[in-house]
Amino acid sequence: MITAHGLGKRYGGKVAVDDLTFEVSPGKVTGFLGPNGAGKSTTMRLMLDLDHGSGRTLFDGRRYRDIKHPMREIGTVLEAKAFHPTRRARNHLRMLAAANAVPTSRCDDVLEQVGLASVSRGKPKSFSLGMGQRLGLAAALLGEPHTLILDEPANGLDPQGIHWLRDFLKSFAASGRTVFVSSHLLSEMALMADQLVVIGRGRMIDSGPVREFVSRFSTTQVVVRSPRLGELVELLRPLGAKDVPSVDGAAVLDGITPERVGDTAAAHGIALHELSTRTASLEQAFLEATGASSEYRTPDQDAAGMPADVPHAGTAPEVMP
Amino acid sequence: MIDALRLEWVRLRTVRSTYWLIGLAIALPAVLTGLVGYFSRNDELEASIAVAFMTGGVALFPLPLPAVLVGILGVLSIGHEYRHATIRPTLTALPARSHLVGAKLVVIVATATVVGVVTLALNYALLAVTRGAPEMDANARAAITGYVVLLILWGIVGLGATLLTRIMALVLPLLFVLPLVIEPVLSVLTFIPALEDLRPAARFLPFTAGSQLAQSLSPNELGTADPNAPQPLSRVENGAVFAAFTMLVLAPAWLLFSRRDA
Repeated sequence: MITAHGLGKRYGGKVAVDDLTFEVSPGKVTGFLGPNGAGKSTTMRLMLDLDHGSGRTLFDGRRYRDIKHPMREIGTVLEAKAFHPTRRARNHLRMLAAANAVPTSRCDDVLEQVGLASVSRGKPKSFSLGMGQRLGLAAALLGEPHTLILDEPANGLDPQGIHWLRDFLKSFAASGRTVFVSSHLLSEMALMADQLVVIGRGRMIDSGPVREFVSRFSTTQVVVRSPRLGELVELLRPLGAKDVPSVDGAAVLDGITPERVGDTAAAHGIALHELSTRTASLEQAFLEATGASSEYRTPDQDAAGMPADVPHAGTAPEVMP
Repeated sequence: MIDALRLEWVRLRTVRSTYWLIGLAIALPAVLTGLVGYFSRNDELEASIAVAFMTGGVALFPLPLPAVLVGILGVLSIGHEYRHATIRPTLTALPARSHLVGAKLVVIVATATVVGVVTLALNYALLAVTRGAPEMDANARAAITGYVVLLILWGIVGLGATLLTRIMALVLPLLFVLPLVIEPVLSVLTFIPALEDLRPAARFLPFTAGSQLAQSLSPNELGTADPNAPQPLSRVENGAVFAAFTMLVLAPAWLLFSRRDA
């Protein structure tokens, strides 16, 4: 169990992390979400006592710095390619293992586990970003920890690698261990995370189960397709319907139930070619929750009310299964 | 602490630069000694002169190259951590920061000592083979000890300066420029009449004083005797000056390292 309480960090007058309190439970994958510059990496560094700030994080009741052999309890990946370019992959792991009384044989085991056995004697300067991430993950697994803290571990991984990582983290958590993972790949998080901690501009926006987050920050929309669509929409407006930009000749309506749409259409003899509901994806909920919290925005995004770093033009919303 | 020492020991042994820096630090004095031994094989060779070359000429030349190479080892011991962003993995593996700095210090001191001892033993053997070993008097033995201390202090200066600045690219040129350019220029400036009063202070220039730790030749032998010059510092005083400078660099660096973000 990880308990973060009152985490805070300032750079000069700028607040990077502001009084964050959350818990990460074992047996679940907890995703850490936030727009670029939200303070996710800073928060992780504060948790691991790498940065100095306010608040404290306890791992089963102890500060990270007070754990004698931390890698045997907590595995971390904070950045890809954090290794000397000419120190061989296996030697990089040997070095970290030496500090935690981990047997050298584990280096070969974890290299095998992350798929780098064939390049264990290779120099990381020739590694791709994805290979770097795998080596970082190998280091995190070195001490057979019960907790993983991973900052954007899917960055640079190919689709197979992402699939492997997802399965690995889910099975790791399913065995009763703890995973706290940040990512900007929302679709990946939707498939992987059970719980979410969402921050924006260093402040807590929400935390809890993924499904609760999605339902809290989104509304179910009604999709209507009809040969008399314009007429129908005008009839629905007085009933509270608000139409949002439609796709492929369909109207997407907020603020009204499908029953009322069907009843209204029937009452006026309007044929319907489609009447369906659409639940927001994690991405939509994330955009809704963090829209005002983006650090870096373009004028287009401001005009469209979109957060930074999220494509918006012509992007069809994802439908949750 | 033992965990930190294990990490640092593996770190030192698993980068190539360790081997070529140590190799050069041992080879340069060996080449010099070999040449001196060969060309003086038919002449008398006083211990003081033999030691001057056995120690790579660190007290003769403006740039004490073997010491600089050990200094670079010190720079790389922490500089690589920042240059290649391994400081965070290192500190997550070993959160006790004072243990990490302590281990780096112990390893650089041990390495410098081994480099010094191996250099001197090798060069003594070279002289013995090429022309017969010279008899070491007290002055020669003191200079030999001073050489090992000099290497140790240079290693610590390199480590401390890089820990302080976290910028390897800044410290590496400084290790060359300070002893080779800055200190000689400051020293020469004290010969200007207006700055003559500062001449005694020039004896406290740290790198210049440090090199005198391994000095085996007297001012008369060097041809630098000057009756108007301030009384030169003794070997111990010179060592104290360089050691004090080393501590002035290391102490704030250690303090800052424990307080700032990784």
